[in-house]
Amino acid sequence: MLVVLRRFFLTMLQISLIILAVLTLLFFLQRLSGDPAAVLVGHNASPELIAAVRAEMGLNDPLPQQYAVFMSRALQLDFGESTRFQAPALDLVLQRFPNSLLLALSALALAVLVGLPLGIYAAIYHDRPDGKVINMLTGVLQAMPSFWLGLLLLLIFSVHLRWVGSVAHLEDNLLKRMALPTITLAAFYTARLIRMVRSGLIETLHQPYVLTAHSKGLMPRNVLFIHALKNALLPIIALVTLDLSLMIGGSIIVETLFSYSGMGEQMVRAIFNRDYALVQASVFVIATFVVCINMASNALYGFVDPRVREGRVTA
Amino acid sequence: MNINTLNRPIEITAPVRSAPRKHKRAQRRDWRWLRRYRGGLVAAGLLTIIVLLVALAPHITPHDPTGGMNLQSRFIPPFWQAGGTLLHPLGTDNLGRDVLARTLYGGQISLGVAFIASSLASLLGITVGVISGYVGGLPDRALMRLTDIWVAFPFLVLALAVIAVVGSSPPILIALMTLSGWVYSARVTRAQTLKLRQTDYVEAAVVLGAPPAQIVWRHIIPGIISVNIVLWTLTFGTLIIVESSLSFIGLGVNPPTPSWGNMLSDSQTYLQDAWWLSVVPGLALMLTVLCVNAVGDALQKLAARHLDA
Repeated sequence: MLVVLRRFFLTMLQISLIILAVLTLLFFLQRLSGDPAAVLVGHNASPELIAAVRAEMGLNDPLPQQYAVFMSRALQLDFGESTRFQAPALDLVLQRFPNSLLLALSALALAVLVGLPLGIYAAIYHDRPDGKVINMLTGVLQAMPSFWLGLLLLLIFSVHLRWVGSVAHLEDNLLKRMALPTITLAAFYTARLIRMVRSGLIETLHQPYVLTAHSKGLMPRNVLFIHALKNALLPIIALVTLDLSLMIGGSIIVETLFSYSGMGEQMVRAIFNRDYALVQASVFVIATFVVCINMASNALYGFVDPRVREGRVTA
Repeated sequence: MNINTLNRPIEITAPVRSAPRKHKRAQRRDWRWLRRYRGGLVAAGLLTIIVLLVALAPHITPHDPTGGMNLQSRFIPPFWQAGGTLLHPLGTDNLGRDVLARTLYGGQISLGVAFIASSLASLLGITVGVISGYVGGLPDRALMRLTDIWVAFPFLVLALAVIAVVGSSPPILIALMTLSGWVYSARVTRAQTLKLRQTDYVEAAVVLGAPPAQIVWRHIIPGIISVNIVLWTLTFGTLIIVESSLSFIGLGVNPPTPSWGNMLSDSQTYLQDAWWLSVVPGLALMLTVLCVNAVGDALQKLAARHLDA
């Protein structure tokens, strides 16, 4: 029990440290950008106005004091107002968060639903032509940048077949809105999952205990699904959790391509609008989410595989 | 986009041994064995062709990739379609620029940036890995903690935050991509260095009083090269996609300089009228990455087998 508590404490410490590092980086990046006051009011503004804004933003204070103010505000989840939307930046990001999460979760679900059975199939029949074809296709999918796959899907389903529009957030039907972004985001992870399940299962099937199970006369189906699959899937469970955090990052591209109203699309537009408060809030939310998922994934890995927990095998 | 996707498992787990000079016959055996991995060889051949085409772009196409705008010759389809012409074999874009020329010159940027960044990432990773593995102790623990955090970090978001402030240019892209790619090389190098340190010949060198720099240079570095070549290949493939993804959302290589990513970005607007604008650069991108990955996989098998022998 004590070990678990200690691990939990260490994990929380690590999460806090990473988030503090992200905030520090954001602070210094903002200073790097030249004069934030000039950016805020526009470079054509009168020097008096810029000076007034500088004073109001506290930019004349010594750097450590500015840093302290920035950090204490950030820790109270105050990133300032979005210059574009005249609303608290964090609220804007959190409004978009469910959309991004929905996209990532549905892509993850699709990846598991398609990838797991296909991976098992490709492992069982790894020396048959169809198994090899699956393996080759995964190679192609992994080499395909998500945005190009998305463009091709748009070309087929939007331009030629006219099943869906090319702008996701204009679709009123949830299925139509989600279909292409989900497939696009899921493709890479599906391919990777198939490969991992395939290679993991092939390796497990060659282990002595599987041979023992066969020679005991167990039904081949049971050996496969009960004995082999259980072991082969252990590391994959944790990696799939990890995929969720990668997808939040990857969805920035997919959301931009399909004009899907998520955090990523908002962040990219905020960058073009020089809306730093919104960029900072977006980075903070995404980073926090990703880091938490990663830590959860580590913990889960230790939970499902005691060898990792006891430090006998390094993950 | 898959900045964080460099977690393709690297498994070169055979016991490490010294690498004596290979016998002529052993070398020939290696080649015969490599022939069995036809996929990797075909990929290497294709990759060579792609690199040559891209590098020799000025000799292959007479067109100018950035200028040469001609609004009369906009949206000419590839030559096999009605209205196509062999003057522009793969058609022209919305400003009448030759798509083949832009794809070839775009490849120079895309491949060049990824090549430099993955090489720098390898160097950084090897340096960190060797220091961590050879020195051990506190530096080791600090550096490995850093790699833990680095892996857990959403890299694309960080890159976007930096680009939001300092803008994007090839040097910035290279720096960011280097920072995204060094971690795996550092970890693998460290693990390998730890193994090599325990070999008899390294211990003998230590006992004989050889200076650490010499031991590292003569005995450690040769043993970590093959692993790092494999990793370099995989990083290269990943970073090609990273660059194109950043350029695609408009935060990478800026127009009018063509890169595969920003060509695809431009093509979005004309999806309706000109399919070739989105298919040609994308195909080039995918073929290149596919070949790089296939070569990487083959090298990985080769290295594992080499260590086994």
